[in-house]
Amino acid sequence: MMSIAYMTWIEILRKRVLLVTTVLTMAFLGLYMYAVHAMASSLAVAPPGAVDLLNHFIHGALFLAIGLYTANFTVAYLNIFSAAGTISAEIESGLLLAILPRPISRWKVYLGKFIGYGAWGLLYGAVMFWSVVLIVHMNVDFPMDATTLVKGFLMFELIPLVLVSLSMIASLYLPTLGAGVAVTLLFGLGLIGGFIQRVNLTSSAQAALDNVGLITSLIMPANPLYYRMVYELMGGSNFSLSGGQTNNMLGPFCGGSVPSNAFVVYSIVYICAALLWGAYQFTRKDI
Amino acid sequence: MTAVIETRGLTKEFRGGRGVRNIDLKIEQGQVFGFLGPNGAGKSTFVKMLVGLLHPTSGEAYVLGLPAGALEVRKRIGYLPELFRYQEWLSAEEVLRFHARLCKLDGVYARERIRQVIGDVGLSGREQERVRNYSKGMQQRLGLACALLPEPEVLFLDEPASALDPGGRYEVRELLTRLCAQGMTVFLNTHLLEDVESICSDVALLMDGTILAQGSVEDILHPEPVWDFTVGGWSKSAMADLESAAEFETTLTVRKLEPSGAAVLEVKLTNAEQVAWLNVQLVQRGISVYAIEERKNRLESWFLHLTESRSGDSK
Repeated sequence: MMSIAYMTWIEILRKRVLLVTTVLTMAFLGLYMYAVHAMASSLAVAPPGAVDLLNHFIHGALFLAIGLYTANFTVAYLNIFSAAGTISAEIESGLLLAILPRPISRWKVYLGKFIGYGAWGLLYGAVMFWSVVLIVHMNVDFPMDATTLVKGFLMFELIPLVLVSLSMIASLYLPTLGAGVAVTLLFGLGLIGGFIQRVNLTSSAQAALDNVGLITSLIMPANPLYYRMVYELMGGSNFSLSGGQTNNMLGPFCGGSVPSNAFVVYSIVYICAALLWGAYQFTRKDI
Repeated sequence: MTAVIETRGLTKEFRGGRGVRNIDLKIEQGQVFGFLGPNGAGKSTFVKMLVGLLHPTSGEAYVLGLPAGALEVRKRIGYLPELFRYQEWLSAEEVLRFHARLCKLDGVYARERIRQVIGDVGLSGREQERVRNYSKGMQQRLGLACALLPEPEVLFLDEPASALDPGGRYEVRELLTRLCAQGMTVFLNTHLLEDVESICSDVALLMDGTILAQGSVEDILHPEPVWDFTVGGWSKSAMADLESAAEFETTLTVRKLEPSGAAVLEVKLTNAEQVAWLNVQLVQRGISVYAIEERKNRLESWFLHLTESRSGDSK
């Protein structure tokens, strides 16, 4: 199993995925740092009294949310397109024809691939998260404590695992391009679901929209996990975002409602179930 | 003899209607078995079931006495797929090291085996090159090296020499003959009938998913010895004269006769003494003998005869 995971990493290294990702990530983080620095400087030169403590917090939160929102996208696409061809492309190319007759259970091959891509996703997610946090911390006086950071980080790290597990399932049934497109559209569906929940309508219409949002969250839990991460970083339960000034200021970078602990548990179960289902289907699959 | 590969009513049906149906096959230890058939006959489908890549729709398949595809079986077999590719971002040695880990070969033994199989398939000196730089023939050699790596008891080869040049094909034939002499059973899926003729002991012909014929190569190629005598000065009266003089049962047919008396006679004779006797008889009757040749059947004609007659039947 670890041989398969190791081979996934070698593939990422040798196919220059790591190199390209590193270069583009550096470019993204450089641009982000420049933007945050510029905005933070304009705030600093504002006339005394114009920036009160709350505004300072809101701007810090906004910088952080924008950075993590964008990081969320890059992490998502990287993981989707890395894992989308893991089964189908290797069947098409004939790579699996040589591997599967070896004395290794198919579920171990599947799990090995998940470990490989999952670890890659976690590493990249960690780099993006801590880089964004560090940039905001260096430029804006935004309150951060270790507990909220770790909680937020853990939420953020669940996102690549959700996407990798889903992309691998898609790869069982669809060719590489189809699998990538399908999971990307599902990811988009999750985003729309999140936006819908932010719309304020009459109570009956609101209930219907909330249900739509809930269903999309259950199908694709990545976006709610992002909202929960933002919630944790903004102070968690000590600082209510719902309907407040911060919430309005953060706009689409913050969810209308905060996903519960039960939803976080659901997301973990979702990943495990996706893995089990994928491994089972892979075992039954004709190659 | 123990059956190393045995199938009973093995069937695989696909949605499109293709596949294989009711295949009964028994292959004994040490055999090089040739599995023949035109494109799309279902040969690769059958092999894929034996190595556990495809799940049969019905029937049973056993390899080394255990259900085909079982983990224990996969430890003891080698497989070279037809349309395969190895990780092109690795070197040949790295590919083999990866497969050694999958086969759970321990470090020292794995290194020794890798060195040995690289030599066996003629890749020595090229093992550090990336697979992406390999020609198709070299990739096929690497595939063969991978298949041989765990010292398998049964080797499944799906078109192992299709990309090789004549020299490469000869080397592979020699290698397989050597392995077979060491007791390895080889299941050879191929279009190259010349290879089958020279190394296989038994063959089966698959067409439209069913076995059309099977038997030993010897029986197919030499069902009854037939000799061609190219002669001059042949006359009709010589025929009756020779048949009455014969002290053994034989059949003499004139295949070709020219007005000058030049002819080709087809004679069924069982041994060299009978050939010599007939030669003497012809000469004594004033008939010149220009050439005597034993007619050799070719697998190709057997293959074409069966597949064409089957195609004719289906029309």
